[in-house]
Amino acid sequence: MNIREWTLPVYTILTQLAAGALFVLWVIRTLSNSKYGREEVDRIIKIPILIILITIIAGITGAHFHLSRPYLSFLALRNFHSSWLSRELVFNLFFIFSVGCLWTLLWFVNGHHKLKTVLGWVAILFGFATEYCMSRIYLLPSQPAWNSPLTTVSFLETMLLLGVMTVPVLLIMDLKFSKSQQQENQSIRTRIIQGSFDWLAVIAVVMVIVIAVLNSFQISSLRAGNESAQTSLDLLLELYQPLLIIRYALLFVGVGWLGLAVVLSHSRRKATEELMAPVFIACLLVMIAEILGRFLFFAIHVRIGI
Amino acid sequence: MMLIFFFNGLAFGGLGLAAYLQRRQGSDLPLNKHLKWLAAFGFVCGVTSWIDMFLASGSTEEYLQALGILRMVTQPLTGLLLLKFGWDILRDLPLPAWTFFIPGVLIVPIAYVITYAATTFVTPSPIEVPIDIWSRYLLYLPGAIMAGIGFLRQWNMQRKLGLSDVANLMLGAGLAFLFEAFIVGLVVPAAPYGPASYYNYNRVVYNAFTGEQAGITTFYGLTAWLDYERILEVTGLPISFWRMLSAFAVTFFVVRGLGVFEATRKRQLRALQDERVQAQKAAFDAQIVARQTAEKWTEVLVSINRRITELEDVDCILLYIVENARKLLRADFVGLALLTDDPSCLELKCFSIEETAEMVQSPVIVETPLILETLQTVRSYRSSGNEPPAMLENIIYGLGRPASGAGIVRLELDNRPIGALWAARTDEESYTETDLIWLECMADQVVIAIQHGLMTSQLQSLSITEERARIAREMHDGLAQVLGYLNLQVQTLEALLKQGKQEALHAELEQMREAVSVAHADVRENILSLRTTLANEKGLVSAIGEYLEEFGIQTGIETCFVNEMEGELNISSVAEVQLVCILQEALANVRKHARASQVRVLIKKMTQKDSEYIYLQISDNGIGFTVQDSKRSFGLKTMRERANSARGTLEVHSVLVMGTTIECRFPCLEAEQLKKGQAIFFREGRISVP
Repeated sequence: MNIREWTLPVYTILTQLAAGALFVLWVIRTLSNSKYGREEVDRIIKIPILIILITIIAGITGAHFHLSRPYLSFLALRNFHSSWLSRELVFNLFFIFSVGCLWTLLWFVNGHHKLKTVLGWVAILFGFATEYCMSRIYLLPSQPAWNSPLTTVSFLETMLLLGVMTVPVLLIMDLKFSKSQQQENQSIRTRIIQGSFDWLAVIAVVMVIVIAVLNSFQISSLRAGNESAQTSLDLLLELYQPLLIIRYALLFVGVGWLGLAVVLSHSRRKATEELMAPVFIACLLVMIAEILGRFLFFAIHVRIGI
Repeated sequence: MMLIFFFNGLAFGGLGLAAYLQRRQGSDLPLNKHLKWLAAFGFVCGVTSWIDMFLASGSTEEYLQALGILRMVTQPLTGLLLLKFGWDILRDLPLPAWTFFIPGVLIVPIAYVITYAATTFVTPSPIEVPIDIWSRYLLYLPGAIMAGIGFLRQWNMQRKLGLSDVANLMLGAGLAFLFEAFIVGLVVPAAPYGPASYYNYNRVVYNAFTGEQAGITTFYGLTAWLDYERILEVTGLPISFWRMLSAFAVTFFVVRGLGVFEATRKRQLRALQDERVQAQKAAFDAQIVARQTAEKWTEVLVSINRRITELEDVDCILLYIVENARKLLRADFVGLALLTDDPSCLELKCFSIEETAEMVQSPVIVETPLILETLQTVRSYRSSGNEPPAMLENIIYGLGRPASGAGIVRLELDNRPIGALWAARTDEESYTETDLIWLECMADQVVIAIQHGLMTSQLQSLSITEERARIAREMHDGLAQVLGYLNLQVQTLEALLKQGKQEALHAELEQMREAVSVAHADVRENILSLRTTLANEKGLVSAIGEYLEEFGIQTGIETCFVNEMEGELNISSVAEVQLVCILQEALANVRKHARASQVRVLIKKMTQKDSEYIYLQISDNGIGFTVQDSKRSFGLKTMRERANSARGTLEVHSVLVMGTTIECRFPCLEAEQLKKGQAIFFREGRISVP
């Protein structure tokens, strides 16, 4: 895989990260609304939503770099009825549009809480649809390493894991920024972060275990597959074995780091913003692991026939 | 090439040594904390360069292999140390708030670059190549950029502080590190991957992952500078030479820039000196202000005391107190309230507001909870500025604005609360502890004024009672006796008239005439005593002189008044009263008993054992008496008691036929007592003396 082909992992990972982060953020918003007040919670998620929007736009922009003629990319939209690629792009555009509308509402319009709630869930739906269509692109009979429902499951799982790992970083960054600006609702921000970190850490650990199980299933299915599948398995376990090991090591270290940081923050009663460094490092490690996973996904494909 | 590596190592070694030595000198500059990392970077970088030198020398293979392995360690270590130093110096000065989001923005690119770097390790190229490339890209490049930006921020700060020479060196160091970032961090060896190879994509010999061959075409843009061979081709000099130049530039500017410590020390010294001068000036100014304030307060307190001692009307004194308290405390309102007969009822007595002070005519009950609470506690109250506005409500009377600060002091008499004095402000400035102390001083003056008023009133009634008793005694002893005697004589005359004894009748009439004459003299003396007062504008001594003159006219006794007084009497008012009484009693005795033709009165101030006293001597040329008999004399006993009551002494010297001398001494008041005016209730010419 040369540099130009790296735009695919860039696009897929960024889109999954954005969709997952939006989903996790919206769940936190739903759980916090009744406790802390809708207006306060909406004020807190404004900057994270902006970063999510920038991430999606960066992802779709990056995807253009692997095209020979990026200016003709709009032609891919024409085959919605027959092409998963076309559907993915259409849903991605809807995803961008809905997140853009959501950001506009949150930043410039007071009230309209129900509209914002509905729009958020619609955007999440488009995000999920994008991820589903994205995974379906790779379900090709000619690519035994990809042609499995595990591909769809692993794409959705990456989406959720990256969301779970990224949202804490966004919230703590926002907390530090708001403290530097001496904004009023510090305590609510802190309580939302403290209240959500526990279950986010637990979900992250569960997700990593699920990834390990799915990957063992994938290896088993490749082992039982045809010659191309065997070749893919050989690539995975021989040439790319160090990367596979690094990936799992980073995944476990990353979620372990997050869990440890959360536990220590409870026992040592540290200030919430002091979690920034461990949460950032945990997110970085898991992100590297997931990008490595996507690299391996693209690297081990072996085409059957011409 | 070996020389280049040697000088390169020398330059970085020098940088490390300079940073280390500077760090050992110590400084409280934040930059000093990061010098350990710069020193470590310099030393490790120097070692790496010298390893390159040995590698270039072409020694034996085993030796080279060991050096190669060592280099694989030192190369990334150099980058790590620079990254640490760069990160620290970047954060040395507070970063803008938006930089909190930089980690969030960079997390994805960082993750991608690290992942991409990790994948290159599975390519067939030798392991030292990706180590070299990625330690430059991932460690050296961001480290040098951050160090460059950090020094540029130092440049900006030093420039603002006015240290242009140090600032210029910081600018040089910043630019040198940015050049280092490019020349060392971005220009990497040729490899089938990485940004350099991507920009020169078509130059790649083969795809590292697929093994596919690629054609060689022309270079374009900045990409032409991202490869060793291209640098050599364009400049005619190898990359090592440029790196050596960069190392010299970094070392030169950083080592010179370390002069910031010396410059800072000098600046701190200057600043300390300036601070000391300013502090001295501020302390001096504060002293002057404090002294002026104290003088103003003292002046007012002395004035109040003077008014009290002059027995000015108590209401006037209270008005004077509240008005001056308002002015000196810069208050918008000062109120004085006193408890009525009902101890729970606090009534506003007087207040000062907007340049006026007035007594309250119709009763105004003070019901402000804060004042009532202070009345019940021993401690005075001072608002802190954090209390709710409702707490200070209704504390100001007659002003539309609510109070924002207040000081309340309770008035105590015999450890019992009698009222409250309070000051209130409507501006944001709050009262200090010193203000509260001054207010307490004013409260003390209020209590003293009230106490003096009460005492004066009591003294006046006491004087009247004593005067009445004395007149009654005189009438009983003199006029009543004479009238009783006359009554008996009239009966005798009536009997003699019936019996027709003319001679005896005339003799009795003669006796009656003498008795009436004596009674007349007594009455006139009493009238003289009643008329003689201390309320003489000329003073007590003059009053004595006038009394003596009148005494001589009435009694026909020759009087002589010797006044040897210099200056004021300086005796207590009680002593003044007793002195006059003793004089009157002595002269009455002269008239009644001494049968004297002359009486002499001497008054003077004398000194004995460093203490002054007033000496009064009354001497006559009468028949005298024996002292043994005098001990039973009620009049002399009374005179002694009067003298003793004013801490004075009285001595009687009498010789039969030769006359009698009475010596009386009263101690003068000490200077301190006079200053305080504590014992001075009456001044000459104010109160009538019996």
